[in-house]
Formats: sequence, C-alpha cells, structure tokens
Amino acid sequence: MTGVFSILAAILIFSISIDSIWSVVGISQAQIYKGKVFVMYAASLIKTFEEIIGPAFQKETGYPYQGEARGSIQVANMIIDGLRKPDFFVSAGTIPITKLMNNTSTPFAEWLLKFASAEMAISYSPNSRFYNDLEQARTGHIPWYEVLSKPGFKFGRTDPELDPKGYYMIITAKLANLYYNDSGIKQKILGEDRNTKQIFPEEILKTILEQGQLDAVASYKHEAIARGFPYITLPDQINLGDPTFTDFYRKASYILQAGSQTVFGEPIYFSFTIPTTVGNLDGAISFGDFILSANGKSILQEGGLNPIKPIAEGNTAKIPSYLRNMIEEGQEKEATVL
Amino acid sequence: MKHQGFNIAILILSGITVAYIIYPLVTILSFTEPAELLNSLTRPQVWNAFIISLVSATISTSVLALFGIPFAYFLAKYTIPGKFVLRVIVIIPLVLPPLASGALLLGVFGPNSPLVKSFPGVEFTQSILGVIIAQIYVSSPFMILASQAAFESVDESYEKIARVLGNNRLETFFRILLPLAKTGIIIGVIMSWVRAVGELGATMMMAYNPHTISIQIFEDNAIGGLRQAISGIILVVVLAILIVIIFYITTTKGRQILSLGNLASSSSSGEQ
Repeated sequence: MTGVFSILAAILIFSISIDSIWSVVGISQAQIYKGKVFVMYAASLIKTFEEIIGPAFQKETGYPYQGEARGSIQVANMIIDGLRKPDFFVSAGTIPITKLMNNTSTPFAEWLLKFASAEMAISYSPNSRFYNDLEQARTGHIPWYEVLSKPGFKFGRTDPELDPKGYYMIITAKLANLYYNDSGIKQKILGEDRNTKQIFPEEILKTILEQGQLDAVASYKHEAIARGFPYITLPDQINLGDPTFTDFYRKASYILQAGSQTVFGEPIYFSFTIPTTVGNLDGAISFGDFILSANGKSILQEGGLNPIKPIAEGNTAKIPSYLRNMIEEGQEKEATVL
Repeated sequence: MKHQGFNIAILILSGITVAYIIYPLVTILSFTEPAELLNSLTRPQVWNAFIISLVSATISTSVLALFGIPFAYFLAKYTIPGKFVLRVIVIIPLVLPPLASGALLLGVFGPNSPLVKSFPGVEFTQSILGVIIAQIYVSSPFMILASQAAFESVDESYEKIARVLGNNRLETFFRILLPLAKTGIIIGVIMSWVRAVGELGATMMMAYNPHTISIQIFEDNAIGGLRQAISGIILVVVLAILIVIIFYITTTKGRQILSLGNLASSSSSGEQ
C-alpha cells in the first residue's frame, strides 16, 4: 500500500522539479502580478491566435494570454448562460456580439469594433476522389457547384446554430442560386440547412477532411491559408467578402432556431468587444490595442485575414477611451495621407 | 480436441482485441516524419500540459483515496436502509457524458454560484483547481467501486477473528482489512489516476486553460490536424507503459509476475 503512495509522491516531486513546472508556476505568479487576459475567439482563428498572436501579445505586454476557441455563437451562449466570463471576445461577424448587446435581462456587451474582413471559400483535400475536378474548379474551368453536386461527393460544414460560418455557407449557397440564375444549386450542394450528413463540429472538420473522409469543406479563405489547404475562390458577389455587394448579400438569409433570429447576408467582418463581465479591463484594452496595432494587423494579414479601418457599432461612448483614441488617430492619419 | 478448440478460440479472440487496440496507433505513426515529430514533441506547451495532467491527476487521486476508500468501506460493511440510492449515486459520474458532468460542475463552481461568491479570491474554474475538481468527479466511481469490491472480497471471518482477539474497528481496518484488500484498492487507485489523466469533456468545461494533455491534444488537432496532435498522443502512450511498470512494482501480484517473490514476502510483512 505504501508502495503506491510513495510512487504517487515520487511522481509529484519529480514533476515539480522539472523545469517546465516553473514556467507553469511562473505564469500563475504572473497572474497575480499582471493579471492574465482571457480571450474567447472565433474558432477559425485558432492557429493564428494560439501560435502567433497569443505569444506575441504576451511577449510585448507582459500580460499572460489565455485563449479559448469556439464557434462564436457558442461563445455568446456561454457568456449569457454564465458559464464563462472572458475579458475579450473576438467574433466572426457581428451577430454573436449583437446577441450579447440585445440580451434582454442584462446586456453583456455594449459596443463592437469591426477590425477585419473575411470571405467564404471552399477548401478541399488532395486525398479526395474528386481532386482533379476540384482543381479544375479552382482554375475556373468548371463551375464549383457542379463538382459539389456530383453523386457521392462528400461536403462538410459546421452547424449554423453554433458557428457563423455555418449560416454564412447557407447564405452563400442561396446567393449562388440568384447569381447563377439556378434555383436548385443550394439544395444540390447542401441539402437541408442542418443536413446531418454534412454537419460536423468545427474542431474536427478540417481533420476529417485531411483524413479523406470528406472531399471539401466550407471555410473562410484565411482558414484554408492557415491550414495549407488548396481552396476555391468564390465570386465576390456571393463570397460575403466585398462590401460593395452589401445590398446583394442581404437578399439571402437564415433563421436561427434558438430565439428565431433572422441572419441576413452581410459582408463578413471579424469584430471584437470587451464584455461587461470583464475581469481584467487593463489587460483587455491592451489586447484590443495589440489587435489594432501595426504588428497585430500584419500578423492577421499573414494569417489570411484582411484588416480594415475599424468600424464601431453600438454605444460607441462606452468604448474605452484608449481604444477610441487609437481609432480616431488612425482616421486622422489616413486623412492627412490623402 | 475440445481442449485445443477452446485454446484456439481464446487466442483468436485475444488476438483480435489486441489488433483492434494497437492498429490505430500504428497507422498514425506511419504518416509522421521523424523530424516533424521531434519538433512537435519538444514544444514547451506539450510538456507543460503533460506535467499539469500528471500533477493534477496525482492530487485528484490522493483526495479521492482519502474520501473514497472510507466511503467504499462504509458501503461494504455498514448496513443501512436506502443503500440502493447510494449505489446509484456512486455510478452517476460514470454514466453521465463528461461534458454534461462539466456543465453541472460549472453550476456549482462557476462564476455565478453562491459557493464561489463566498470565496472571492479563489479561482475554482479555468485553473488547476478546476482541473482537479473535474477529475475527482469523473474518477470517483473507479476508486469507490474498486475499493468496495476489494473490501467485500475479503473473507469476513478474518475480521471477526481480529475483533474477537480484541482489536477495535479501526485496528481491524488497518491491520487486517486494508492489507488483504490491497491489490483491489491499488487497481482502483491506478484506474482513477488513469481516468483523471484521460479526462477531456468535464475539464473542457471547468478548465479549458491551463491545458491538460488531453486538451492540448484536442487543440493541436483543431489547429493542425493529427500531425500536430501526435506528439501529445505519443506522450500518453508512453504513460501507459509507465503505468504498467508501476503496477508490476507495487502490487504483490505484479511482483510475482516479475518473479520477485522473495521481495514480495519480506516487504509486505514490513509494510504494517
């Protein structure tokens, strides 16, 4: 009996004396002195945030970074249900944050800043049976929707109830009906909205694509770039990435089952807010500053996102003054350059 | 002839079982390159996650042993009405999907709960404490059930004789019951520890950060697919090897297997 417990004790002591434990303890000590910043963000950004932005932010500011990636709607739901209290929330599109803003009993956010635009694309795998056809579609020789409609083609996407990319794909497909003047496209490539044969959790979607279980998946262009997948660019009129087509985008929509909210097609803007439940306000402001800074913007750009001049929505008076000044200064600089 | 048929059947079934377990691992290893794997294995976050899993699982198992073994003794030896309810309660953490357990635990330990509000400085979630709470919850059935079975398997006449000879309940427990139930309890401890290390769903809710090795594998997969997740997977498989070694060293049966019989008999008499 004592044998087992001495083994357990030995493991404890051994692991404590390894160098790496000090870095863990170090972080916890840093948490006491310079509080950690808890960032919840859209899962499509996971590689960029965990591998580059998090460490770069931590190095530059000294605030320990703690990130959790989830579908943006899911993040909003978790905040509303009281399961999480992040300091900072980066969302794909604005709807998850407006959900926080419009929450009837207590609003969990009061403003948002759109900071980068993204577009829908079709990622595919070199392991797919349809690889040649997909390559032809990529180079514009055959229509992409024809390849996706072929019998036996396995397409994957995320749940529109949890992940903005899920409803954006449905909207893109509906816009394709209008753009190509063929009302059957959406049904042929997606089937019904929550088609159980196509819907997978975000975290495993790209892995099963890689393993050859799927031929192609709906993704943002920046995800395809980050993960190194070949991808098919969609026309600007339907890829939700060009603000000049805002009116056209609005012609398609999806109704969220939870709360019966209608999502209209819109240019996809990645946006952020500091929720009202923030614990570490200084750290959160510092993170927002980092995202909007030249360094942050170039990291996002390398990850395939398209940084834009920040656009504020909601109760802009509540935006922390430091960030507000940053935005205004940026706009002044642009004015003088012009 | 029938004798041979029985042996062959056992061998075939065992062979299929082994292949089923080992084949997925073999196929993953086949598509990694050694250089890439080495790079992936030396990342500090993987080792941090591994250490966190080892340390937290050890603490969880120790706490669980402190409470679970006495409770198992209670279940085995005390007669009370309503034991049926207790038995159901014990297996609930086993039956609940871990994500559900985690969500329920968040209700108790989450930022809005009254318990947490009475301890303002303590971080119950998104911390190592959160990891430990999640692990204790999901591992508890293993500790309790294994220990209970171990106690129940000890011939009651030993205890009765000890009592007749003047030992009280406490002395009987430590001198007679515990040593005789040792192997079963150790198995319970090891299973609880392993379950704690392998825990993912409840930890994802209670403490996504700091990453345990399970969460690190999960995140690595989300970021870079299986190629990136393999390093964590390999560490865990190495752990499996270590566990079997520990089992061999610490249990009498294990030592017998290793033919260290003499060591077994001399140290067990000194262990009291």
